[in-house]
Amino acid sequence: MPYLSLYRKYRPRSFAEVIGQRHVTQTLANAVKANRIAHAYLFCGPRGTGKTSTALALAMSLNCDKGPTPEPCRECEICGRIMAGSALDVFEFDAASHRSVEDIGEVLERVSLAPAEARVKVYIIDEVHMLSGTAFNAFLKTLEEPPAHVVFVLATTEPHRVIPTILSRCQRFDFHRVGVRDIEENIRKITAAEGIEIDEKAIAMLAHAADGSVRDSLTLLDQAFAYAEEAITPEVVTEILGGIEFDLLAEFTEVLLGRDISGALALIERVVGEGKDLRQLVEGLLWHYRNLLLLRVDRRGRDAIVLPEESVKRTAEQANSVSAEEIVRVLDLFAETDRELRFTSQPRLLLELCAVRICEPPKAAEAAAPAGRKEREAARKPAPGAPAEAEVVAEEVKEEAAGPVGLADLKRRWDEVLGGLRKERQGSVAAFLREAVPVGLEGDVVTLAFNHQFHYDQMMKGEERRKAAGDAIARVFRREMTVKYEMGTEPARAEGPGEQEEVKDYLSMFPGSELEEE
Amino acid sequence: MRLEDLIGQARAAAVLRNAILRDRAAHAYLFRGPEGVGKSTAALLFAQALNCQRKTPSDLASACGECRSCTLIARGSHPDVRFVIPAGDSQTSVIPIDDIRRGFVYDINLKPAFGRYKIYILDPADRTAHLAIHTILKALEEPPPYVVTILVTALPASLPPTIPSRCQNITFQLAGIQAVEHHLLTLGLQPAAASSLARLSGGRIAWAVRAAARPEVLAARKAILDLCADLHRRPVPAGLRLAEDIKLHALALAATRRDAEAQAQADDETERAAPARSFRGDRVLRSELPWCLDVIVSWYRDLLAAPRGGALLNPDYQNLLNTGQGPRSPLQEDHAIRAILETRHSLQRNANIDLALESLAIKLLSGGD
Repeated sequence: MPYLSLYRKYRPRSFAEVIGQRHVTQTLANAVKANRIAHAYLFCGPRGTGKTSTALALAMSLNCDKGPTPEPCRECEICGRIMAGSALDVFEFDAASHRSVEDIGEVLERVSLAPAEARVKVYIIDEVHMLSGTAFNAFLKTLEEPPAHVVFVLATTEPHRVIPTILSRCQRFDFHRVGVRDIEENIRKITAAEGIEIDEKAIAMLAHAADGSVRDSLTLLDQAFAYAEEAITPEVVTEILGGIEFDLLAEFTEVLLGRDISGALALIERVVGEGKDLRQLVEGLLWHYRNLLLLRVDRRGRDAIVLPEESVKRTAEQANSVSAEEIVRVLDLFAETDRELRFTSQPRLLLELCAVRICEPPKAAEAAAPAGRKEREAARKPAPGAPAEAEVVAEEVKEEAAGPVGLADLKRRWDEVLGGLRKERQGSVAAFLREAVPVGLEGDVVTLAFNHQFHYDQMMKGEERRKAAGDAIARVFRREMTVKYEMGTEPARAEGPGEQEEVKDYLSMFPGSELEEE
Repeated sequence: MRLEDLIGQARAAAVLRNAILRDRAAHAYLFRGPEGVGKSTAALLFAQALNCQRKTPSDLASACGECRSCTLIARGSHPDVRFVIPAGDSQTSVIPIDDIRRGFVYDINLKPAFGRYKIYILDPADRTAHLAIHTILKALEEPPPYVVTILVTALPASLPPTIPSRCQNITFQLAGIQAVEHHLLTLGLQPAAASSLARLSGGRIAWAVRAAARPEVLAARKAILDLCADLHRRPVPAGLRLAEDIKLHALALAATRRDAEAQAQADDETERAAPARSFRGDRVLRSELPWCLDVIVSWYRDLLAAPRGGALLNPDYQNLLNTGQGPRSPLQEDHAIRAILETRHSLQRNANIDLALESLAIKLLSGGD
């Protein structure tokens, strides 16, 4: 007999064998016992969580010679036939390759016929989300009021693509991702039955990589077994996952912590030379930095890390040498790079750019760059205890101011002007000017446009306000300039444009957060 | 050729060899990994090895390459080894749903004609007609025992997650630069040329081997790098020329390749209709442009790496890279590299060639502001 994949060989055959879905299997078992079976079920959930298997188990429970029972005997003729897929009254219908209304029509035509050998005809419609719109509609009437001898089980990974009139006619069960512990237990059981030698650590890694899918865990196990010469060790698993070994991650991190850019470039060169997948490297680094953060902020973070003891120790040492802010900064950069890597043909370049950005953090003066959000924010903070960065800004202003000033410079350094005003205790002027945009610069004449009449009026009212503004601009650009004020032609946006927008920006970065009025 | 002869794919080869030796071929494989590293070749070799009729006893994991089965597979006419491939040969053509149904989903129930296994190779599996990939789910999961399905893709993320979950995933990786260089040397290339091409290939062995057979590739590389160097010494005239010149180089390359292809076709006596060929012209040009941009991007990457002690992609330009640039901020290189990558991406999605290149030249000239 040819070789059968583990996930097919060990497919669960009864409710009790389905892993990690007690909320579903218990309910169904009770329904079978109480003889209160609904006529239509919808099983939803991610791949490899047991939808189709549960459907088959339901069919066996209902039709077993010794039943209906939640524990079918598996020995009677009908159980055997259902397991072999040859039962006359259990139809597995693949909606993905039979999407059309004709296909489903053929099935519906025979629904009214009595079962040939079993008690109940069970229709398992897999991948039901793939049915065409008309096929769904053709199905509605039958689904709502099928003959008494029929049970429909619809299974899908994408319930949002099933039309609501179908959803409302079914009892819906949501299958969850399976927990790591359950998957580990399952792997242990199967390797014991198959006589496969496997290391405990390797089991943990496989279970982790399966990401909640039992089927994935078993395909991975199959692969590991095919690759391993003898026992399945953590090294084997790292290899088949195409992952990056811990030592490399730790080494890379050390280089980055030391801000040693040439070391980082050399390391990337080496990794590319070995043909390793840079996407995997970045993914590994993301996990590693996540571990650093865990250890940094909470001693108990240790328990949440799936690594050998000595690796955890080395990670902890690294965590102690770096601030949480720095970890978060680097995590941000890696996360961005990880996203970009998905769509690029030049992973190496993007990773190198990322390394440069990690090792050479942008200075405040370069705040216009995308990474400069934080610096911009710092410059904008209210005056009391003005942050150290403001000092830095002032320093660099002097160095830079020599050359001619363009409108772009003015816009770019507008925040500095505002910051300068606050430092001079001219917060109210800064507040008015924040509603203005530099729109023109000719010679030494700056034109500011306001969005709101109010702010414009306020500036026009006070001579000393205008003077303060002029001085602030002069300080930043080291040059006397005349300032012209006018109302903007832009249509005024709803309440407080600049700030509100930015606040929303930040809020969107932290899902679930709300704005609290002070 | 044997599986283990694939450059830099020792791991993938080991898994596949073990599967054959232990008689544990899975019913479904997903060959994943970047373009041009040998996935399709591996699929062919694996199919040959599975169905070979005359293996040498000393190496049971490899196909003989000579028996009836092996030769038929190599010619693509083995009745039990089916290739399910896109209809048409443009970048955007897809595998039609009917081909998937008739050529795979329904076909698996017919027993093999004379092979031991019935093998289906879907290549590339990510380029099927809209939603058509879903139709294979059942056939992929529980085929009859004699079926082995091999899906080949460079973009596994674009498959629905239920597909990889049903397959043994075999990951192919880029060959190391040194491995590519070494292989080019064994093909008889000059050391300098081998070094340049290997670095330019980024580890895509198939590309490197094809480029090695075309001397004009190296010439174009040199011309483009010279342009880049000029761009910073004499920005304005060089910048205006850049877009035009890149296109000219790509055109010239495309022309030589078209001639070569036309020649090959004439030899085959399967001449195509003329209109079809002029359409192919634009496509060939488009396929030459990405690596022309790769050359430019390698220049900017080296500008970034040189002052930081990184190894260069263009070591032969070391002097030019180190001199005469003056201090540049990493942000400038950052902007330049991103702009080039973006252009490359948009060209692949049918952006207007002239406009895209000119806008790129402007961005490079303005130095990131």
